[in-house]
Amino acid sequence: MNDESIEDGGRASTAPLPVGTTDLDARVDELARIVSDVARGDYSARLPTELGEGHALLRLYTGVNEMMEALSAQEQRNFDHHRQLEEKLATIDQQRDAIRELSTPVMEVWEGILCLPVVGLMDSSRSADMTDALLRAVVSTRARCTIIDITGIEVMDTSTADHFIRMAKAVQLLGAACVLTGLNPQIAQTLVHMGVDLEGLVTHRSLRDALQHFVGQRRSARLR
Amino acid sequence: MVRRHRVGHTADAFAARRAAMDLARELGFDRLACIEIAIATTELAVNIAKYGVRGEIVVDTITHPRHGVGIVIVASDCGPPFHDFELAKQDGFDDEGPLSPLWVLDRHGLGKGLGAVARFTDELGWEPTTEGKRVRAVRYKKRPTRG
Repeated sequence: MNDESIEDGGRASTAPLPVGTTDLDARVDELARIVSDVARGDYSARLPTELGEGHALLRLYTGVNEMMEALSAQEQRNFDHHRQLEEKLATIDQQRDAIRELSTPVMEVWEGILCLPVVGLMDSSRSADMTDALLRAVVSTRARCTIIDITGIEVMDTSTADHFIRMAKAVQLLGAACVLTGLNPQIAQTLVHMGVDLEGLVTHRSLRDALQHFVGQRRSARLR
Repeated sequence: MVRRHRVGHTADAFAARRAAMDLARELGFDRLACIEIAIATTELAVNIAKYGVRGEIVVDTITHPRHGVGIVIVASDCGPPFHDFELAKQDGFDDEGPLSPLWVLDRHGLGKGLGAVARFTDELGWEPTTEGKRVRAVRYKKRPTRG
C-alpha cells in the first residue's frame, strides 16, 4: 500500500504546484512540530495524509509517517531489550549472592571436626569470605580440627596457595588444627615445581584419611 | 586463533587462564603442561590486576623453526617498566629488591609469581611500550633442554 502511495506521489510530482504560500507555511509548521516531537523522543504524532492525490507534499508526508512508524517500532524494541537486559542483570546479581552463600559451606562432619570443601576459583574476596565463615564456625562449634578439602580445585597458582596458607594460619591461631586434603597429583607436582612451600601446612591424601586421623586422635585422647 | 582478555580485576585472570588452558589442550599439550600454562597465565594476569593497572592478556599459537609449536602469552599493561626484571623473577623479590613483610601482608601474595612463570615457560622477556610494558612468555610443546 505504501508503495502505491509513493508511486502516486511520483506521478503527481510532475504536475504543477497547486499550493499557495500560506498553505505551505502551515504545512511546514506541521512538519516542524513533528520534528520537535521526534527531538523530544515522542514518536506518536502522524502527519495528515488526506492532502489529495496530486499534492506535492504527499510523498514527503507519507515518508515522514513511515519514518515515525519505524522509529516508534524501534523504540519499542529498544525498550523491550532494555527490560530483558535489566531482568538478566537482576538474575546475575541474585545468582552471585547465591554463589557467595554456597561458596562457604562449612560443615561439622564429626564432633569437633569441621570441613570446608572448596570448589572452583579462589580470589581475595572469596578467600576472605571463606576464612571469615571458617573462623566463626571454629569458634561457635568449638572445633579442634578443620579440614579444607580442595578436590574441586583444578589449578593452584601462587596466590591461591597463599590464600590457603593464610586460612590455615588463622585457624591455627584459634587453637585448632588445620589440614589440607584432596590435592591432586598435578597440583602436588606444580606446587613443587613452582617453588611454593606450604609452610607447615599438614596435608592428607583424602578427606577420608584426614577424618580417620582426627577421629583416631580423639579416641586415643579420650582413652588416656 | 588469538584470544585477548582485558584485565582490570583478579577475577578477569580466570577468563584469561581458561582461554590459555583451552588453547593448550587444543594444541595437544599434556595435562600437566596445560596446568603449568594456566598457572603462568594466571600469574601474569594477577600481576596486572594486583599492581592496580589496566592491561590485557593475549594468548596465541606460535611455531618456532627449531622448537616447533608453542603457546605465547603476552601480558601488556600501562604500569611503570620493571626496574630490574632479573631481580623480580627471584622468589620473594620484586623489581627493586626483597619484598617487605608488610607488602606481603598487604598484597596477598608470595612474591613468587614471576618465578613460577619463569619455571613454567621456556622464554620470558619484557619490553617497555609507549603506554607501559609488555611481558612475553613462550612455552613450547617439546620443551627445549634448559641449562
